[in-house]
Amino acid sequence: MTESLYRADTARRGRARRLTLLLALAATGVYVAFILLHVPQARG
Amino acid sequence: MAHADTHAHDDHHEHKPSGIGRWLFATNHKDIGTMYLVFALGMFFLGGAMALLIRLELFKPGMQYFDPQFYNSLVTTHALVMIFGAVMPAFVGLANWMIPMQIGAPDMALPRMNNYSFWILPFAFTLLLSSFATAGGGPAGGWTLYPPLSLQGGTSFPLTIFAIHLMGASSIMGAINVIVTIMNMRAPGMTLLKLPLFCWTWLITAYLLIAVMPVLAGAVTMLLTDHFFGTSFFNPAGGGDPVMFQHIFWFFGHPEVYILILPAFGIVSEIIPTFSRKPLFGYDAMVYATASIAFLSFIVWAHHMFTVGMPLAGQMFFMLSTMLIAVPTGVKVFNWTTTMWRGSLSFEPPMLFALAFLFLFTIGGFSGLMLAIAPADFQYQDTYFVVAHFHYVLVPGAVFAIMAGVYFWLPKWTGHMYDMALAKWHFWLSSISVNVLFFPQHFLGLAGMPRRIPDYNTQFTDWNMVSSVGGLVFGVSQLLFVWVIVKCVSSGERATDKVWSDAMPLGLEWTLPSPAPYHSFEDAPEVK
Ligand code: HEM
Ligand SMILES: [Cu+2]
Repeated sequence: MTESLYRADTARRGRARRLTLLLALAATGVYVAFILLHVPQARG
Repeated sequence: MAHADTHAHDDHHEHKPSGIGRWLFATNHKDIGTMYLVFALGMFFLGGAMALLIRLELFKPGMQYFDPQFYNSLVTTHALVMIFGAVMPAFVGLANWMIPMQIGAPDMALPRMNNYSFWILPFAFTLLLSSFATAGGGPAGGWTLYPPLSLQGGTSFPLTIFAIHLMGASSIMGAINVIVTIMNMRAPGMTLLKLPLFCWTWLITAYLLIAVMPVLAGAVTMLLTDHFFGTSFFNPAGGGDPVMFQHIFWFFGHPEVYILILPAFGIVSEIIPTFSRKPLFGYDAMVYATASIAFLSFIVWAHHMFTVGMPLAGQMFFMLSTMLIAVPTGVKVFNWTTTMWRGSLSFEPPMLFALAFLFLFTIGGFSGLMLAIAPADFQYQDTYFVVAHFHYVLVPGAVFAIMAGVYFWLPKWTGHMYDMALAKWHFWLSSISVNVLFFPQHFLGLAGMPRRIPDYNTQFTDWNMVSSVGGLVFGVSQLLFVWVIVKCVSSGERATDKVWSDAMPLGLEWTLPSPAPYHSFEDAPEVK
Protein backbone atom coordinates (compact mmCIF):
# COMPACT_ATOMS: atom_id res chain seq x y z
CA MET A 1 0.00 0.00 0.00
CA THR A 2 1.06 3.54 -0.55
CA GLU A 3 1.07 6.31 1.96
CA SER A 4 0.48 9.94 1.69
CA LEU A 5 3.81 11.57 2.34
CA TYR A 6 3.03 12.44 5.95
CA ARG A 7 2.55 8.74 6.57
CA ALA A 8 5.39 7.62 4.31
CA ASP A 9 8.48 5.75 5.35
CA THR A 10 11.34 7.89 6.61
CA ALA A 11 13.51 7.45 3.53
CA ARG A 12 10.89 8.77 1.19
CA ARG A 13 9.93 11.55 3.58
CA GLY A 14 13.58 12.50 3.84
CA ARG A 15 13.94 12.69 0.09
CA ALA A 16 10.85 14.84 -0.17
CA ARG A 17 12.08 17.19 2.58
CA ARG A 18 15.46 17.60 0.93
CA LEU A 19 13.89 18.30 -2.43
CA THR A 20 11.51 20.86 -0.91
CA LEU A 21 14.38 22.59 0.83
CA LEU A 22 16.52 22.55 -2.28
CA LEU A 23 13.78 24.09 -4.42
CA ALA A 24 12.99 26.75 -1.82
CA LEU A 25 16.68 27.62 -1.60
CA ALA A 26 16.97 27.75 -5.37
CA ALA A 27 14.08 30.20 -5.58
CA THR A 28 15.53 32.36 -2.82
CA GLY A 29 18.93 32.18 -4.46
CA VAL A 30 17.63 33.40 -7.80
CA TYR A 31 15.85 36.28 -6.08
CA VAL A 32 18.88 37.43 -4.13
CA ALA A 33 21.26 36.89 -7.04
CA PHE A 34 19.20 38.97 -9.43
CA ILE A 35 19.14 41.89 -7.03
CA LEU A 36 22.82 41.66 -6.08
CA LEU A 37 23.79 41.45 -9.72
CA HIS A 38 22.37 44.92 -10.24
CA VAL A 39 23.61 46.59 -7.09
CA PRO A 40 26.66 48.19 -8.74
CA GLN A 41 24.23 49.97 -11.03
CA ALA A 42 21.98 50.98 -8.16
CA ARG A 43 24.73 52.98 -6.48
CA GLY A 44 25.75 54.70 -9.69
CA MET B 1 -6.52 -4.72 5.77
CA ALA B 2 -4.65 -1.81 4.41
CA HIS B 3 -7.76 0.14 5.03
CA ALA B 4 -7.97 -0.67 8.71
CA ASP B 5 -4.29 0.13 8.95
CA THR B 6 -4.51 3.60 7.60
CA HIS B 7 -7.50 4.26 9.73
CA ALA B 8 -5.59 3.62 12.87
CA HIS B 9 -2.85 5.92 11.69
CA ASP B 10 -4.94 8.86 10.89
CA ASP B 11 -8.39 9.16 12.22
CA HIS B 12 -9.97 12.22 10.71
CA HIS B 13 -8.70 10.99 7.42
CA GLU B 14 -11.57 8.99 6.02
CA HIS B 15 -14.47 11.36 6.51
CA LYS B 16 -14.71 14.86 5.22
CA PRO B 17 -14.42 17.62 7.78
CA SER B 18 -17.50 19.80 7.76
CA GLY B 19 -18.40 23.46 7.92
CA ILE B 20 -16.23 26.42 7.06
CA GLY B 21 -13.23 24.72 8.66
CA ARG B 22 -13.18 22.22 5.82
CA TRP B 23 -12.18 25.06 3.51
CA LEU B 24 -10.16 27.33 5.81
CA PHE B 25 -7.94 24.52 7.06
CA ALA B 26 -8.21 22.40 3.94
CA THR B 27 -5.37 19.98 3.28
CA ASN B 28 -7.21 17.68 0.92
CA HIS B 29 -6.05 18.02 -2.67
CA LYS B 30 -9.57 17.91 -4.04
CA ASP B 31 -10.90 20.58 -1.67
CA ILE B 32 -7.94 22.83 -2.41
CA GLY B 33 -8.28 22.15 -6.11
CA THR B 34 -11.94 23.12 -5.93
CA MET B 35 -11.10 26.35 -4.12
CA TYR B 36 -8.49 27.23 -6.72
CA LEU B 37 -10.94 26.56 -9.55
CA VAL B 38 -13.75 28.55 -7.96
CA PHE B 39 -11.37 31.42 -7.22
CA ALA B 40 -10.13 31.35 -10.80
CA LEU B 41 -13.67 31.39 -12.14
CA GLY B 42 -14.51 34.39 -9.96
CA MET B 43 -11.40 36.21 -11.17
CA PHE B 44 -12.24 35.27 -14.76
CA PHE B 45 -15.55 37.11 -14.38
CA LEU B 46 -13.96 40.06 -12.60
CA GLY B 47 -11.26 40.38 -15.26
CA GLY B 48 -13.96 39.83 -17.88
CA ALA B 49 -16.05 42.67 -16.48
CA MET B 50 -13.01 44.94 -16.74
CA ALA B 51 -12.50 43.81 -20.33
CA LEU B 52 -16.11 44.64 -21.16
CA LEU B 53 -15.64 48.13 -19.72
CA ILE B 54 -12.55 48.52 -21.91
CA ARG B 55 -14.50 47.39 -24.97
CA LEU B 56 -17.33 49.72 -23.99
CA GLU B 57 -14.99 52.71 -24.02
CA LEU B 58 -13.50 51.56 -27.33
CA PHE B 59 -16.84 50.98 -29.01
CA LYS B 60 -16.70 54.48 -30.47
CA PRO B 61 -13.88 56.95 -31.04
CA GLY B 62 -13.74 59.85 -28.61
CA MET B 63 -13.84 59.72 -24.83
CA GLN B 64 -17.13 58.25 -23.67
CA TYR B 65 -17.21 57.05 -20.11
CA PHE B 66 -13.88 56.98 -18.29
CA ASP B 67 -11.04 59.35 -17.74
CA PRO B 68 -7.76 58.10 -19.26
CA GLN B 69 -6.18 57.35 -15.91
CA PHE B 70 -9.02 55.03 -14.93
CA TYR B 71 -8.99 53.44 -18.37
CA ASN B 72 -5.30 52.68 -17.95
CA SER B 73 -5.94 51.12 -14.53
CA LEU B 74 -8.60 48.92 -16.11
CA VAL B 75 -6.10 47.72 -18.74
CA THR B 76 -3.41 47.11 -16.12
CA THR B 77 -5.54 45.24 -13.61
CA HIS B 78 -7.41 43.30 -16.30
CA ALA B 79 -4.09 41.73 -17.29
CA LEU B 80 -2.89 41.09 -13.75
CA VAL B 81 -6.22 39.60 -12.70
CA MET B 82 -6.47 37.34 -15.75
CA ILE B 83 -2.86 36.12 -15.68
CA PHE B 84 -2.25 35.73 -11.95
CA GLY B 85 -5.85 35.39 -10.77
CA ALA B 86 -7.61 33.37 -13.46
CA VAL B 87 -5.34 31.32 -15.75
CA MET B 88 -2.56 30.39 -13.32
CA PRO B 89 -4.87 29.45 -10.39
CA ALA B 90 -7.09 27.47 -12.77
CA PHE B 91 -4.07 25.41 -13.82
CA VAL B 92 -3.03 24.95 -10.18
CA GLY B 93 -6.58 23.86 -9.39
CA LEU B 94 -6.51 21.27 -12.15
CA ALA B 95 -3.06 20.14 -10.99
CA ASN B 96 -4.34 19.69 -7.45
CA TRP B 97 -7.29 17.65 -8.54
CA MET B 98 -5.62 15.56 -11.19
CA ILE B 99 -1.94 14.99 -10.40
CA PRO B 100 -2.52 12.70 -7.37
CA MET B 101 -5.21 10.85 -9.31
CA GLN B 102 -3.01 10.46 -12.36
CA ILE B 103 0.08 9.21 -10.55
CA GLY B 104 -1.73 6.93 -8.14
CA ALA B 105 -1.15 8.92 -4.93
CA PRO B 106 -3.59 9.60 -2.10
CA ASP B 107 -2.90 13.35 -1.98
CA MET B 108 -0.33 16.04 -2.77
CA ALA B 109 3.00 15.67 -1.02
CA LEU B 110 2.83 18.90 0.99
CA PRO B 111 -0.80 19.40 1.97
CA ARG B 112 -0.30 22.22 4.46
CA MET B 113 1.83 24.25 2.12
CA ASN B 114 -0.90 23.64 -0.40
CA ASN B 115 -3.31 25.33 1.96
CA TYR B 116 -1.04 28.37 2.42
CA SER B 117 -0.42 28.77 -1.27
CA PHE B 118 -4.13 28.96 -1.93
CA TRP B 119 -5.06 31.23 0.96
CA ILE B 120 -2.38 33.78 0.09
CA LEU B 121 -4.23 34.55 -3.14
CA PRO B 122 -7.37 36.22 -1.77
CA PHE B 123 -5.13 38.52 0.28
CA ALA B 124 -2.93 39.32 -2.71
CA PHE B 125 -5.88 40.30 -4.88
CA THR B 126 -7.53 42.26 -2.08
CA LEU B 127 -4.33 44.30 -1.84
CA LEU B 128 -4.17 44.82 -5.58
CA LEU B 129 -7.80 45.78 -6.02
CA SER B 130 -8.01 47.89 -2.87
CA SER B 131 -5.71 50.33 -4.62
CA PHE B 132 -8.73 51.46 -6.65
CA ALA B 133 -10.05 52.98 -3.43
CA THR B 134 -6.91 55.02 -2.74
CA ALA B 135 -6.20 58.54 -3.90
CA GLY B 136 -4.86 58.29 -7.43
CA GLY B 137 -6.72 55.04 -8.16
CA GLY B 138 -5.40 51.66 -9.26
CA PRO B 139 -2.07 50.89 -10.92
CA ALA B 140 -2.08 52.36 -14.43
CA GLY B 141 1.37 51.75 -15.88
CA GLY B 142 0.52 48.46 -17.59
CA TRP B 143 1.05 44.91 -16.31
CA THR B 144 4.67 45.15 -17.48
CA LEU B 145 5.35 47.83 -14.83
CA TYR B 146 8.00 49.64 -16.88
CA PRO B 147 9.81 52.41 -15.04
CA PRO B 148 9.81 55.37 -14.97
CA LEU B 149 6.04 55.28 -15.62
CA SER B 150 5.22 52.72 -12.96
CA LEU B 151 7.21 54.69 -10.38
CA GLN B 152 4.81 57.58 -10.83
CA GLY B 153 1.87 55.64 -9.38
CA GLY B 154 0.48 56.86 -6.08
CA THR B 155 -0.49 54.59 -3.23
CA SER B 156 -1.32 51.91 -5.77
CA PHE B 157 2.38 51.42 -6.47
CA PRO B 158 3.48 49.71 -3.23
CA LEU B 159 0.14 47.88 -3.00
CA THR B 160 0.65 46.40 -6.46
CA ILE B 161 4.20 45.39 -5.68
CA PHE B 162 3.28 43.65 -2.44
CA ALA B 163 0.42 41.92 -4.23
CA ILE B 164 2.85 40.65 -6.86
CA HIS B 165 5.23 39.44 -4.16
CA LEU B 166 2.41 37.47 -2.58
CA MET B 167 1.26 36.00 -5.89
CA GLY B 168 4.86 34.98 -6.57
CA ALA B 169 5.21 33.31 -3.17
CA SER B 170 1.97 31.45 -3.78
CA SER B 171 3.08 30.23 -7.21
CA ILE B 172 6.48 29.13 -5.95
CA MET B 173 4.93 27.11 -3.14
CA GLY B 174 2.47 25.57 -5.58
CA ALA B 175 5.31 24.70 -7.93
CA ILE B 176 7.40 23.10 -5.17
CA ASN B 177 4.39 21.02 -4.23
CA VAL B 178 3.88 19.79 -7.78
CA ILE B 179 7.53 18.83 -8.18
CA VAL B 180 7.80 17.06 -4.84
CA THR B 181 4.53 15.22 -5.47
CA ILE B 182 5.54 13.99 -8.91
CA MET B 183 9.08 13.10 -7.85
CA ASN B 184 8.10 11.28 -4.65
CA MET B 185 4.55 10.04 -4.78
CA ARG B 186 4.22 8.04 -7.98
CA ALA B 187 2.69 4.57 -7.70
CA PRO B 188 5.11 1.67 -8.11
CA GLY B 189 5.80 1.08 -11.80
CA MET B 190 4.91 4.65 -12.83
CA THR B 191 8.25 5.55 -14.36
CA LEU B 192 8.81 9.08 -15.59
CA LEU B 193 8.22 8.09 -19.19
CA LYS B 194 4.85 6.63 -18.26
CA LEU B 195 3.71 9.84 -16.64
CA PRO B 196 0.56 11.27 -18.20
CA LEU B 197 1.33 14.34 -20.29
CA PHE B 198 -0.64 16.65 -18.04
CA CYS B 199 1.77 15.71 -15.23
CA TRP B 200 4.77 16.11 -17.50
CA THR B 201 3.80 19.54 -18.74
CA TRP B 202 3.02 20.62 -15.18
CA LEU B 203 6.34 19.27 -13.89
CA ILE B 204 8.18 21.35 -16.47
CA THR B 205 5.97 24.36 -15.80
CA ALA B 206 6.76 24.06 -12.10
CA TYR B 207 10.48 24.25 -12.80
CA LEU B 208 9.88 27.32 -14.95
CA LEU B 209 7.95 28.91 -12.10
CA ILE B 210 10.73 28.31 -9.62
CA ALA B 211 13.26 29.74 -12.05
CA VAL B 212 11.41 32.92 -13.01
CA MET B 213 8.96 34.00 -10.32
CA PRO B 214 11.93 35.08 -8.16
CA VAL B 215 13.17 37.15 -11.10
CA LEU B 216 9.88 39.03 -11.19
CA ALA B 217 10.00 39.41 -7.43
CA GLY B 218 13.54 40.79 -7.75
CA ALA B 219 12.49 43.22 -10.47
CA VAL B 220 9.61 44.65 -8.45
CA THR B 221 11.73 44.77 -5.30
CA MET B 222 14.19 46.93 -7.18
CA LEU B 223 11.34 49.18 -8.32
CA LEU B 224 10.29 49.46 -4.72
CA THR B 225 13.73 50.46 -3.48
CA ASP B 226 14.13 52.90 -6.36
CA HIS B 227 10.92 54.56 -5.30
CA PHE B 228 11.26 54.56 -1.53
CA PHE B 229 14.89 54.00 -0.60
CA GLY B 230 16.79 56.15 -3.03
CA THR B 231 18.47 53.41 -5.04
CA SER B 232 18.78 53.95 -8.77
CA PHE B 233 18.63 50.52 -10.33
CA PHE B 234 16.55 51.92 -13.15
CA ASN B 235 17.25 55.63 -12.78
CA PRO B 236 19.81 57.09 -15.21
CA ALA B 237 20.36 60.08 -12.93
CA GLY B 238 22.01 57.72 -10.45
CA GLY B 239 23.74 55.51 -13.00
CA GLY B 240 20.91 53.06 -13.51
CA ASP B 241 19.14 52.09 -16.68
CA PRO B 242 15.39 51.79 -17.33
CA VAL B 243 16.04 49.40 -20.22
CA MET B 244 17.61 47.02 -17.72
CA PHE B 245 14.18 46.67 -16.15
CA GLN B 246 12.78 45.55 -19.46
CA HIS B 247 15.47 42.89 -19.79
CA ILE B 248 14.79 41.58 -16.29
CA PHE B 249 11.04 41.75 -16.71
CA TRP B 250 11.03 39.83 -19.98
CA PHE B 251 13.54 37.31 -18.70
CA PHE B 252 10.65 36.50 -16.40
CA GLY B 253 7.94 37.41 -18.91
CA HIS B 254 8.64 35.10 -21.77
CA PRO B 255 8.97 31.93 -19.65
CA GLU B 256 5.79 33.19 -17.96
CA VAL B 257 3.86 32.99 -21.23
CA TYR B 258 4.94 29.37 -21.47
CA ILE B 259 3.82 28.85 -17.89
CA LEU B 260 0.44 29.96 -19.20
CA ILE B 261 0.45 27.50 -22.10
CA LEU B 262 2.38 24.32 -21.20
CA PRO B 263 -0.29 22.90 -18.86
CA ALA B 264 -2.79 23.67 -21.65
CA PHE B 265 -0.68 21.51 -23.97
CA GLY B 266 -0.90 18.78 -21.35
CA ILE B 267 -4.68 18.95 -21.12
CA VAL B 268 -5.09 18.84 -24.89
CA SER B 269 -2.71 15.88 -25.04
CA GLU B 270 -5.02 13.99 -22.66
CA ILE B 271 -8.22 14.86 -24.48
CA ILE B 272 -7.36 14.30 -28.14
CA PRO B 273 -6.36 10.61 -27.69
CA THR B 274 -9.50 9.94 -25.64
CA PHE B 275 -11.87 11.22 -28.30
CA SER B 276 -9.83 9.71 -31.13
CA ARG B 277 -9.78 6.36 -29.31
CA LYS B 278 -6.09 6.01 -30.05
CA PRO B 279 -3.04 6.46 -27.86
CA LEU B 280 -1.19 9.74 -28.25
CA PHE B 281 1.07 9.75 -31.28
CA GLY B 282 4.72 10.32 -30.34
CA TYR B 283 4.53 10.40 -26.56
CA ASP B 284 8.30 10.66 -26.07
CA ALA B 285 8.55 13.38 -28.70
CA MET B 286 5.85 15.32 -26.84
CA VAL B 287 7.86 15.15 -23.63
CA TYR B 288 11.06 16.25 -25.31
CA ALA B 289 9.26 19.00 -27.24
CA THR B 290 7.86 20.35 -23.98
CA ALA B 291 11.29 20.34 -22.41
CA SER B 292 12.82 22.05 -25.45
CA ILE B 293 10.18 24.76 -25.43
CA ALA B 294 10.88 25.35 -21.76
CA PHE B 295 14.61 25.57 -22.37
CA LEU B 296 14.27 27.88 -25.38
CA SER B 297 11.89 30.13 -23.48
CA PHE B 298 14.90 31.43 -21.53
CA ILE B 299 16.78 32.72 -24.55
CA VAL B 300 14.17 34.65 -26.50
CA TRP B 301 13.11 37.38 -24.08
CA ALA B 302 14.32 40.41 -26.02
CA HIS B 303 11.82 39.80 -28.83
CA HIS B 304 9.60 41.95 -26.61
CA MET B 305 12.02 44.85 -26.89
CA PHE B 306 13.34 44.92 -30.45
CA THR B 307 12.58 48.65 -30.57
CA VAL B 308 14.69 49.71 -27.57
CA GLY B 309 17.71 50.07 -29.82
CA MET B 310 19.78 46.95 -29.33
CA PRO B 311 22.73 46.00 -31.53
CA LEU B 312 21.93 44.27 -34.81
CA ALA B 313 23.58 41.06 -33.61
CA GLY B 314 21.23 41.07 -30.63
CA GLN B 315 18.19 41.49 -32.84
CA MET B 316 19.36 38.65 -35.07
CA PHE B 317 19.98 36.37 -32.13
CA PHE B 318 16.59 36.96 -30.53
CA MET B 319 14.78 36.76 -33.84
CA LEU B 320 16.32 33.40 -34.73
CA SER B 321 16.06 31.88 -31.27
CA THR B 322 12.37 32.86 -31.20
CA MET B 323 11.76 31.21 -34.55
CA LEU B 324 13.47 28.08 -33.27
CA ILE B 325 10.56 27.60 -30.83
CA ALA B 326 8.36 26.94 -33.83
CA VAL B 327 10.14 23.59 -34.24
CA PRO B 328 9.08 21.88 -30.98
CA THR B 329 5.71 23.65 -31.18
CA GLY B 330 5.28 22.22 -34.67
CA VAL B 331 6.12 18.76 -33.34
CA LYS B 332 3.24 19.10 -30.92
CA VAL B 333 0.70 20.31 -33.44
CA PHE B 334 1.79 17.55 -35.80
CA ASN B 335 1.47 14.89 -33.10
CA TRP B 336 -2.02 16.00 -32.06
CA THR B 337 -3.12 15.95 -35.67
CA THR B 338 -1.57 12.55 -36.28
CA THR B 339 -3.26 11.19 -33.16
CA MET B 340 -6.59 11.99 -34.79
CA TRP B 341 -5.59 10.49 -38.13
CA ARG B 342 -7.75 7.41 -38.74
CA GLY B 343 -9.05 7.63 -35.21
CA SER B 344 -12.61 6.87 -34.30
CA LEU B 345 -13.45 10.49 -33.57
CA SER B 346 -16.34 11.82 -31.56
CA PHE B 347 -17.11 15.42 -30.74
CA GLU B 348 -18.20 15.86 -27.16
CA PRO B 349 -17.55 19.27 -25.56
CA PRO B 350 -13.99 18.53 -24.30
CA MET B 351 -12.95 17.47 -27.81
CA LEU B 352 -14.65 20.49 -29.38
CA PHE B 353 -12.72 22.83 -27.13
CA ALA B 354 -9.49 20.91 -27.75
CA LEU B 355 -9.99 21.14 -31.51
CA ALA B 356 -10.75 24.86 -31.34
CA PHE B 357 -7.57 25.15 -29.29
CA LEU B 358 -5.60 23.40 -32.00
CA PHE B 359 -6.78 25.73 -34.77
CA LEU B 360 -6.94 29.01 -32.92
CA PHE B 361 -3.79 28.59 -30.85
CA THR B 362 -1.99 27.98 -34.14
CA ILE B 363 -3.28 31.31 -35.48
CA GLY B 364 -1.73 32.92 -32.40
CA GLY B 365 1.50 31.07 -33.12
CA PHE B 366 1.57 32.44 -36.65
CA SER B 367 1.10 36.03 -35.58
CA GLY B 368 3.85 35.34 -33.03
CA LEU B 369 6.17 34.36 -35.84
CA MET B 370 5.32 37.57 -37.66
CA LEU B 371 6.16 39.55 -34.54
CA ALA B 372 9.40 37.66 -34.17
CA ILE B 373 10.71 39.11 -37.43
CA ALA B 374 12.67 42.02 -36.00
CA PRO B 375 12.31 44.51 -38.88
CA ALA B 376 8.59 43.79 -39.13
CA ASP B 377 8.15 44.16 -35.38
CA PHE B 378 9.21 47.81 -35.61
CA GLN B 379 5.88 48.31 -37.33
CA TYR B 380 3.78 46.05 -35.08
CA GLN B 381 5.28 46.91 -31.68
CA ASP B 382 2.75 48.46 -29.29
CA THR B 383 -0.14 48.13 -31.73
CA TYR B 384 -3.32 46.10 -31.57
CA PHE B 385 -1.56 43.41 -33.63
CA VAL B 386 0.31 42.42 -30.48
CA VAL B 387 -2.97 42.49 -28.56
CA ALA B 388 -4.52 40.18 -31.17
CA HIS B 389 -1.52 37.83 -30.99
CA PHE B 390 -1.48 37.31 -27.28
CA HIS B 391 -5.23 37.08 -26.95
CA TYR B 392 -5.30 34.29 -29.53
CA VAL B 393 -2.74 32.28 -27.60
CA LEU B 394 -4.32 33.07 -24.26
CA VAL B 395 -8.09 32.95 -24.78
CA PRO B 396 -8.83 30.27 -27.39
CA GLY B 397 -5.44 28.91 -26.29
CA ALA B 398 -5.01 28.70 -22.53
CA VAL B 399 -8.61 29.50 -21.50
CA PHE B 400 -10.19 27.07 -23.98
CA ALA B 401 -7.83 24.33 -22.79
CA ILE B 402 -8.91 24.99 -19.20
CA MET B 403 -12.54 24.75 -20.24
CA ALA B 404 -11.78 21.58 -22.20
CA GLY B 405 -10.17 20.14 -19.06
CA VAL B 406 -13.13 21.08 -16.89
CA TYR B 407 -15.57 19.49 -19.34
CA PHE B 408 -13.30 16.43 -19.53
CA TRP B 409 -12.96 15.79 -15.81
CA LEU B 410 -16.17 17.31 -14.42
CA PRO B 411 -18.07 13.96 -14.50
CA LYS B 412 -15.17 12.35 -12.59
CA TRP B 413 -15.31 15.12 -9.98
CA THR B 414 -19.06 15.30 -9.48
CA GLY B 415 -20.21 11.81 -10.44
CA HIS B 416 -22.72 13.37 -12.86
CA MET B 417 -22.79 13.89 -16.59
CA TYR B 418 -23.48 17.48 -17.51
CA ASP B 419 -25.90 18.96 -19.99
CA MET B 420 -24.15 18.20 -23.30
CA ALA B 421 -26.49 20.36 -25.38
CA LEU B 422 -25.91 23.39 -23.19
CA ALA B 423 -22.17 22.79 -23.17
CA LYS B 424 -22.18 22.67 -26.96
CA TRP B 425 -24.04 25.96 -27.04
CA HIS B 426 -21.35 27.33 -24.78
CA PHE B 427 -18.72 26.02 -27.16
CA TRP B 428 -20.19 27.37 -30.37
CA LEU B 429 -21.08 30.77 -28.96
CA SER B 430 -17.62 31.11 -27.41
CA SER B 431 -15.62 30.02 -30.40
CA ILE B 432 -17.51 32.15 -32.88
CA SER B 433 -17.55 35.25 -30.71
CA VAL B 434 -13.91 34.92 -29.68
CA ASN B 435 -12.95 35.31 -33.34
CA VAL B 436 -15.30 38.24 -33.81
CA LEU B 437 -13.67 39.76 -30.76
CA PHE B 438 -10.01 39.25 -31.58
CA PHE B 439 -9.59 38.71 -35.31
CA PRO B 440 -10.36 42.34 -36.28
CA GLN B 441 -7.66 43.45 -33.86
CA HIS B 442 -5.11 42.12 -36.34
CA PHE B 443 -6.43 44.57 -38.94
CA LEU B 444 -6.49 47.41 -36.46
CA GLY B 445 -2.92 46.74 -35.47
CA LEU B 446 -1.65 46.48 -39.02
CA ALA B 447 -3.40 49.78 -39.76
CA GLY B 448 -1.52 51.34 -36.86
CA MET B 449 -3.91 51.53 -33.93
CA PRO B 450 -1.82 51.77 -30.75
CA ARG B 451 -2.54 49.58 -27.71
CA ARG B 452 -3.35 50.93 -24.20
CA ILE B 453 -5.17 54.00 -25.53
CA PRO B 454 -8.76 54.96 -24.59
CA ASP B 455 -9.41 56.97 -27.76
CA TYR B 456 -8.55 56.45 -31.41
CA ASN B 457 -8.64 57.88 -34.89
CA THR B 458 -12.01 57.62 -36.63
CA GLN B 459 -10.64 55.36 -39.38
CA PHE B 460 -10.46 52.55 -36.78
CA THR B 461 -14.12 52.79 -35.82
CA ASP B 462 -15.69 49.89 -37.71
CA TRP B 463 -13.46 47.08 -36.57
CA ASN B 464 -13.54 48.38 -33.02
CA MET B 465 -17.33 48.18 -33.04
CA VAL B 466 -17.19 44.63 -34.39
CA SER B 467 -14.65 43.69 -31.75
CA SER B 468 -16.74 45.16 -28.93
CA VAL B 469 -19.85 43.30 -30.07
CA GLY B 470 -17.83 40.06 -30.16
CA GLY B 471 -16.59 40.83 -26.66
CA LEU B 472 -20.09 41.28 -25.31
CA VAL B 473 -21.30 38.00 -26.83
CA PHE B 474 -18.22 36.15 -25.58
CA GLY B 475 -18.65 37.56 -22.08
CA VAL B 476 -22.34 36.71 -21.85
CA SER B 477 -21.74 33.19 -23.24
CA GLN B 478 -19.52 32.42 -20.29
CA LEU B 479 -22.59 32.50 -18.05
CA LEU B 480 -23.58 29.25 -19.78
CA PHE B 481 -20.35 27.69 -18.52
CA VAL B 482 -21.28 28.51 -14.93
CA TRP B 483 -24.78 27.24 -15.47
CA VAL B 484 -23.58 23.91 -16.88
CA ILE B 485 -21.20 23.46 -13.92
CA VAL B 486 -23.76 24.38 -11.27
CA LYS B 487 -26.33 22.04 -12.78
CA CYS B 488 -23.78 19.26 -12.99
CA VAL B 489 -22.71 19.60 -9.36
CA SER B 490 -26.27 19.31 -8.11
CA SER B 491 -27.87 16.87 -10.57
CA GLY B 492 -27.51 14.92 -13.76
CA GLU B 493 -27.27 11.41 -15.10
CA ARG B 494 -24.83 9.19 -13.19
CA ALA B 495 -21.38 9.09 -14.74
CA THR B 496 -19.67 5.75 -15.24
CA ASP B 497 -16.13 5.23 -13.94
CA LYS B 498 -14.60 5.45 -17.40
CA VAL B 499 -16.97 8.32 -18.29
CA TRP B 500 -16.12 8.76 -21.97
CA SER B 501 -15.75 5.31 -23.47
CA ASP B 502 -14.85 1.80 -22.44
CA ALA B 503 -11.82 1.49 -24.70
CA MET B 504 -10.36 4.84 -23.75
CA PRO B 505 -9.27 6.76 -21.71
CA LEU B 506 -6.47 4.80 -20.13
CA GLY B 507 -5.12 6.97 -17.31
CA LEU B 508 -5.24 5.91 -13.63
CA GLU B 509 -7.81 8.58 -12.80
CA TRP B 510 -10.39 6.58 -14.76
CA THR B 511 -9.88 3.49 -12.59
CA LEU B 512 -11.34 5.42 -9.65
CA PRO B 513 -15.10 5.54 -9.10
CA SER B 514 -17.08 8.61 -10.20
CA PRO B 515 -17.26 10.79 -8.16
CA ALA B 516 -13.67 10.20 -7.11
CA PRO B 517 -13.32 9.30 -3.42
CA TYR B 518 -12.09 11.97 -0.99
CA HIS B 519 -8.68 10.33 -0.83
CA SER B 520 -7.64 9.15 -4.22
CA PHE B 521 -5.51 6.03 -3.89
CA GLU B 522 -5.32 4.61 -0.37
CA ASP B 523 -3.81 1.51 -1.92
CA ALA B 524 -1.20 2.09 -4.55
CA PRO B 525 -2.23 0.79 -7.95
CA GLU B 526 0.26 -1.33 -9.88
CA VAL B 527 1.33 0.35 -13.10
CA LYS B 528 2.46 -2.04 -15.81
C1 HEM C 1 4.65 30.48 -31.46
C2 HEM C 1 5.34 31.02 -30.55
C3 HEM C 1 5.30 32.49 -30.20
C4 HEM C 1 6.02 33.48 -30.77
C5 HEM C 1 6.97 33.34 -31.93
C6 HEM C 1 5.71 34.71 -30.06
C7 HEM C 1 6.26 35.95 -30.33
C8 HEM C 1 5.95 37.12 -29.68
C9 HEM C 1 6.58 38.37 -29.89
C10 HEM C 1 7.72 38.64 -30.87
C11 HEM C 1 6.00 39.29 -29.07
C12 HEM C 1 6.36 40.77 -28.90
C13 HEM C 1 5.54 41.63 -29.79
C14 HEM C 1 5.75 43.09 -29.52
O1 HEM C 1 5.58 43.55 -28.36
O2 HEM C 1 6.06 43.79 -30.49
C15 HEM C 1 4.97 38.61 -28.33
C16 HEM C 1 4.16 39.18 -27.39
C17 HEM C 1 3.37 38.46 -26.52
N1 HEM C 1 3.15 37.09 -26.53
FE1 HEM C 1 3.88 35.79 -27.91
N2 HEM C 1 4.79 34.43 -29.10
C18 HEM C 1 4.52 33.09 -29.14
C19 HEM C 1 3.66 32.40 -28.33
C20 HEM C 1 3.03 32.93 -27.23
C21 HEM C 1 2.32 32.18 -26.25
C22 HEM C 1 2.15 30.68 -26.24
C23 HEM C 1 1.83 33.08 -25.34
C24 HEM C 1 1.01 32.86 -24.11
C25 HEM C 1 0.29 31.85 -23.84
C26 HEM C 1 2.24 34.39 -25.77
C27 HEM C 1 1.92 35.55 -25.11
C28 HEM C 1 2.36 36.80 -25.45
C29 HEM C 1 2.04 38.01 -24.73
C30 HEM C 1 1.19 38.08 -23.45
C31 HEM C 1 2.67 39.05 -25.40
C32 HEM C 1 2.54 40.54 -25.10
C33 HEM C 1 3.20 40.97 -23.88
C34 HEM C 1 2.99 42.44 -23.69
O3 HEM C 1 3.66 43.23 -24.37
O4 HEM C 1 2.14 42.81 -22.86
N3 HEM C 1 2.95 34.27 -26.92
N4 HEM C 1 4.96 37.26 -28.72
CU1 LIG D 1 7.82 36.36 -25.62
